[in-house]
Amino acid sequence: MKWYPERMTEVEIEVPNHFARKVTELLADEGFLQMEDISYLHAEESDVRGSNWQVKANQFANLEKQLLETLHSLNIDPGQSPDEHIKMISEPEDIQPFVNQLEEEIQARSKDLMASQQEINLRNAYIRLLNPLSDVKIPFERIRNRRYIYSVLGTMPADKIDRFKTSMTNIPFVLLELKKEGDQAIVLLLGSRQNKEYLHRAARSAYLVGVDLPDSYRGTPAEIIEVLNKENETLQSRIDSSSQEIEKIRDSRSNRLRELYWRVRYSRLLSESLMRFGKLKHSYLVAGWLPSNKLEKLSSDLQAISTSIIIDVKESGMDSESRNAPIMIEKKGFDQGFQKLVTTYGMPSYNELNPTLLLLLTFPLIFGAMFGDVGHGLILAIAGLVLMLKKIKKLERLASLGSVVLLCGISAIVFGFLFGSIFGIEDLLPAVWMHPMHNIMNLLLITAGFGAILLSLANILALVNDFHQRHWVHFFFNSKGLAGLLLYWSLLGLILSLFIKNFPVDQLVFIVVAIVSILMIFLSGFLERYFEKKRPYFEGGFLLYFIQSFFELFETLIGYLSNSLSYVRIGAFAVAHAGLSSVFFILANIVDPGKGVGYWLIVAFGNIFVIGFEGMIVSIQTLRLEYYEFFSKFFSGGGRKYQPFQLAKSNKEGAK
Amino acid sequence: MILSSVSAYANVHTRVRGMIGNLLGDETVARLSASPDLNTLIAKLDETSYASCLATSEETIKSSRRVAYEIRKKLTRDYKIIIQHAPSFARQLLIQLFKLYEVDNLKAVLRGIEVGEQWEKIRYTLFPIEDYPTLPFEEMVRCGTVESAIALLHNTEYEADLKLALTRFHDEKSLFPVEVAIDLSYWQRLWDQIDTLPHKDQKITRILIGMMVDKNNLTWAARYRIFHRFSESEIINYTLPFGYKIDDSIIRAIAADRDPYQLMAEIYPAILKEGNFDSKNTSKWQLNETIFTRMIYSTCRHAFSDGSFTIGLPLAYLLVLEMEIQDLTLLFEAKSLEMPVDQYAPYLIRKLPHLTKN
Repeated sequence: MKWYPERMTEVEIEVPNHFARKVTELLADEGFLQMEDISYLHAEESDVRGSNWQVKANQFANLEKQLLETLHSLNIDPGQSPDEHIKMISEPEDIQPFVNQLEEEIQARSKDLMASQQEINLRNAYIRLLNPLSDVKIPFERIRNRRYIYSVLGTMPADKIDRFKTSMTNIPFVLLELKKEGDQAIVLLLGSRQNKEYLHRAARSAYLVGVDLPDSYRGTPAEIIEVLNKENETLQSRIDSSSQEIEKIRDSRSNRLRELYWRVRYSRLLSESLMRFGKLKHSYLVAGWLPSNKLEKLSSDLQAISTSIIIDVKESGMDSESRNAPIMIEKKGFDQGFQKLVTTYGMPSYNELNPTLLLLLTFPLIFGAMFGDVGHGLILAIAGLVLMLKKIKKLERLASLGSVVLLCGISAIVFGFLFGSIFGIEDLLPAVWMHPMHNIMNLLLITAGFGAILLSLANILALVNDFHQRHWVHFFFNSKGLAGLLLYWSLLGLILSLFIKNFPVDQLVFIVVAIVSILMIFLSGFLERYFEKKRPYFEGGFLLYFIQSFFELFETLIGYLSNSLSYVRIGAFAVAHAGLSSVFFILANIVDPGKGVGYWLIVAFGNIFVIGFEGMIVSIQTLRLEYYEFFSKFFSGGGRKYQPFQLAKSNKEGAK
Repeated sequence: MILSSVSAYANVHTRVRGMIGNLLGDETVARLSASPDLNTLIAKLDETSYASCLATSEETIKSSRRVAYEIRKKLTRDYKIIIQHAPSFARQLLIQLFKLYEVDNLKAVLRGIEVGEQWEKIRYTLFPIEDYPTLPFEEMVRCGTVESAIALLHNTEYEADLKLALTRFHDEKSLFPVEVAIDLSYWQRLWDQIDTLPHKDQKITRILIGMMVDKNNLTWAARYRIFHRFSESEIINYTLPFGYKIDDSIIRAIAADRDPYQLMAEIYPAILKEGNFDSKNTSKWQLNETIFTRMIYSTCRHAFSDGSFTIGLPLAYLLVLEMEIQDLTLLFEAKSLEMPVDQYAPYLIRKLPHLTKN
């Protein structure tokens, strides 16, 4: 855990054309250079070279798609990259024939399999329609091909049957509902052949779909069903044999296919990365960022490929010009959850203080003070541990927040002892410090004081950031700089001197410091433009500057006041926590004064409610105090994440 | 009972009363109609409650179709507000009514796919559903075929009807059975939804939506007989078995060659006040449809003055707003084609003041 991000170095590597491929493979293998897209840099003829890699990338993309489809059709999971040594660019022409041949083999069998399946489905549809007629002992051809009778056997929406019957009042017909399946009905429509056209159109308009059983099927419905079943058996055996053949192909080719898939996939990614390089007449230009401590390794590895590779190094400083450097954030460790909370607010800039450590200290402290209860804290701590240990599969995604919950729980336990509270019972443990319900005013004043300390700390951190960024006007004159801090302290001093008798510092000192600070803040806009030599010094005229500065100053004063008072909520929630818990004891007493099962059920429910509901509210309030009161004073974010060029080992990881 | 309906509808009624104030007055419609061209018409419309819709459109786009698309957003937004503030028991019906535009969009998309139109061309012919959840129309168009587009509607309320109609689409290579299946099933769902309303709401809803169903049934039956030459059985199967005043006997009479509009006048004598039917000239069926719509418009307007706290007021407002937008769309088309007023005025749902005087 560091206060400032890992030092980064910007490099430009000039690679002669014939080493480009090797260098790309090396960069992918090492996986610590974050590449910048400089493909806009190119010499005249290099377009052709660029398009060569584009062509290759396209060829690999097509091959990858083809291989993936083949893998899917064989039900093979591409899995993870099987071999580290395949991270090199292959030639598409070498792979294509094998892929085509395999695809052909599988396709022929798959087609056969699908056709057989379709045939089975069709026969099943016939069987489904004929089943309701299986008791009829008359040959089916005699039902459907009568000289004077027109018939349609088929399905129609069950809710359209009545409407259909209504529509046919003028025509003689019989509609037999043979079976109902969900919202569909199997029906047999019979009518005079003379009205064939009318009946056909009427049936069609009622969405009656007839099934054309081929004339070759003769005999009673039961006999036809038997024939159809036999045909299905033959078809099924064909499917089984095709499946077995596909199985054989899968067994014999799966390893080779997987290996090829990953080779092609890496080749595509490498070709695509080559497209992002800048192009000079005889060389490629690679630009990017890497952690400074990796520079030596990269240099020696590149030199090992060829001494003709030139590395131009630009060390990044902490000034404002280095803001563009990516930020390397460790994903592992106890502070991961707190880091997540910080990045939710904003990714730290390169030259900005990372507030994760501060959050790790202050977040549990504030939470614990608002949620002080030994029992509730213990439950939270256990929950945090469970999350961290990843014992519940469904909660694995929240594992990183386990440390946050654990620390909050521990802090709540500590404050629980200080406040003498356990599972909402206020008179079981002696309060090491005070009972919130009995010391409301004291608690509120203490938390307001704590807020003043945190706000001062935030202001000092803003000064540190300005110092690092050499932003001197900000450092001295800004409302979040020295002037702002002095103003805040002088106002605090003034308030304290009004309430504390014999305060060691004279009020006049505070008034003078406050006036000087106000003047400094008032002039900050002008001074910023003056030192940056931006004219006019008073943008929009002096009057506008005056009005703007006045209101900004007013906003600063209001901001300090409201931010300080915001921290009073810590005390208020500590009181509310105890109060809410006591409410459930009162309710339990009303329901079951004899302290039987009812009493303890309500107490248990109350505790669950307090942990769940109030725990959530306190978390939100803590986060609010951290983000809006604390962070906003010194942390602006806006950095970009360090994403080095790496080749993913599985499909789920995706390409980086 | 009365108190409960007052408290349920007070909020939405207050809002709808405000919205009614934003409807275009007769004089404004006349002023819009008097615009010499489309640009002037748009400029004049920009001074009305439609200004907020026009502000969102790109300045360079001045086509009648695009402007019509933009102003329809007002209807979507008003639907949204009304649905949001309507009592929970009425909300589902209003949502179902709003789905009429989804149904129209679905049919338009399928038609577009069938003739091979690109999404960029189709999108502005659709009703702007805005941020309401709807079907994946763009993806459907990009599929390129009706079959694959329909496959995307898996697990939607349209799936069953479309699957059923797809067999006929394959056989007949026509979207007609698909569109009919979508329409019939939509109106059936809407009609069934009315049963979930309280009795007082059911009554007014059956009148207002029932008249819309009657208009559809009449139009469909007339078209099936005049243009498609369908048999009685087909006409009945392709129309709806419910409505406000039209029943199967009327449909049967139309199928048996009775003049549909004469029949209509017998059932709805009030229709004669709205204009003269041209029963001789069947090609003027669209004009007769307008006359019927005028009668619905009058009924809705009448519902504005009804003081009872029912779904009637919001429902009537939404229907009137839709008709106002239909009129505006017609004006856009007419002005872009430089049509003289006497050619398009008979097709306007609202009669222009000077023509009324004449």
